[in-house]
Amino acid sequence: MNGTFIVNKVACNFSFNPTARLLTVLRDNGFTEVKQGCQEGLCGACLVIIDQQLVNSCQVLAASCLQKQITTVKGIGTLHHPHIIQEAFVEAGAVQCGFCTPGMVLATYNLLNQIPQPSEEQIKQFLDGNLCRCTGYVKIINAVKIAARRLNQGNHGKN
Amino acid sequence: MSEPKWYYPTDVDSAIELLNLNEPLFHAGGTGILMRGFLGVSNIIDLQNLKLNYTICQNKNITIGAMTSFSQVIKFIKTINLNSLLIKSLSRAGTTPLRNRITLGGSLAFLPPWSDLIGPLIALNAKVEVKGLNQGIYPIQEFIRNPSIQNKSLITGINYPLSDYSNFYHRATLTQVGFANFTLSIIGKQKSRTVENLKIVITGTKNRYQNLTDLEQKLIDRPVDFNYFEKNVNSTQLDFSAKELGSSEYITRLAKYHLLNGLQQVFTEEKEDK
Repeated sequence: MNGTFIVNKVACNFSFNPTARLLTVLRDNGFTEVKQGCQEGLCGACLVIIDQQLVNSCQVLAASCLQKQITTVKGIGTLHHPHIIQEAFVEAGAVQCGFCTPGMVLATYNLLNQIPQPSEEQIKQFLDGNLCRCTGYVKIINAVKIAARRLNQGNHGKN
Repeated sequence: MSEPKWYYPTDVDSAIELLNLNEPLFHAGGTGILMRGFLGVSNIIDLQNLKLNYTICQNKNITIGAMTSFSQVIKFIKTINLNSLLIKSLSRAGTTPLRNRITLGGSLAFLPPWSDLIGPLIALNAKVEVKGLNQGIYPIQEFIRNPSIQNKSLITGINYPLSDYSNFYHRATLTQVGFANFTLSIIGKQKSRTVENLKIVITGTKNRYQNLTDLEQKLIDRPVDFNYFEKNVNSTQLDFSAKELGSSEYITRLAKYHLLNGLQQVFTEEKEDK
């Protein structure tokens, strides 16, 4: 089947199998920043934001997302124009192998849009769907706090 | 085998009409379908545009549309009662991104082990609203017992009476994201240190769930006496199979420990209902 998806604010027409997961369709069409991890909705590597909702793209059927706004990590910042959250992750040393980072950054982005000044408990609760096998989470939580502080200081960058 | 075809109805009646298609399957959040697979499915009916995403609190009754996600349910109920049993249970189901996707209706249709929904809904005396061939409002226990209610029918929502009862919820798992080996839901009310009302539901037993009516009857209208509670909890028959947590004997002991702990929490003196 064919369908139009609005990925990072750009309308894209993709051809895909009716039972394909959004993760597969995005990656098959070049959005490899959406990482393929457990494919069971547990690790958070494949997170995307659909119409302001953070979801595991491996648990979403692509055919249910026609005409929807899909945001991947490249939709909030790029290598040369990183988002404040991405800068905070680098600064805090919250990136090691980097595989979980796109999901972590998107979860943080979604959290700070809902709760601009989250407590540590709220950060832990909100990132409960993101697994990292390298950092041990302390630096990730620090990164979220740095990003929250900067965004609240009015240093909004391209948010 | 041909690939399934998708349909996107915009109202409930059109969705029900589509059930006359060959081998249809409703799509709500999609997480249950992905576990189920697509074997024998020719037509997929997407429910996102049916406007079944709503939450209402009216006349001391809560009504929630079938397409409301767990996250939306939690957010809504927090505005009414921060201590709700449903908040405690749904907040522990899956993870934040999964709760954004899992819907109430989808969970009722598939009754998956990860949804943590059955116990609290039974304890809260919830009813399931169904449209289509078996149109009606069914007590949750009848709905679970009789899967044929879903034949050529669509779950449109649930409702349950609002109560200020004290409650307790426990989810027994090996890891936070693991499926529950059992869940324990207790709601209770006391007056003048006497048990006035009590409902206890354990899920994950051999018959999916056990409503501990015998124990409830032994404790209702009795003084709040934790020694008496303990004696009766110890003599209660729980029917578990061996699971990843351990043997049936171990899980039974664990469940009884949490059951007694839950009763103590629900009926502590501070929480006495005036």
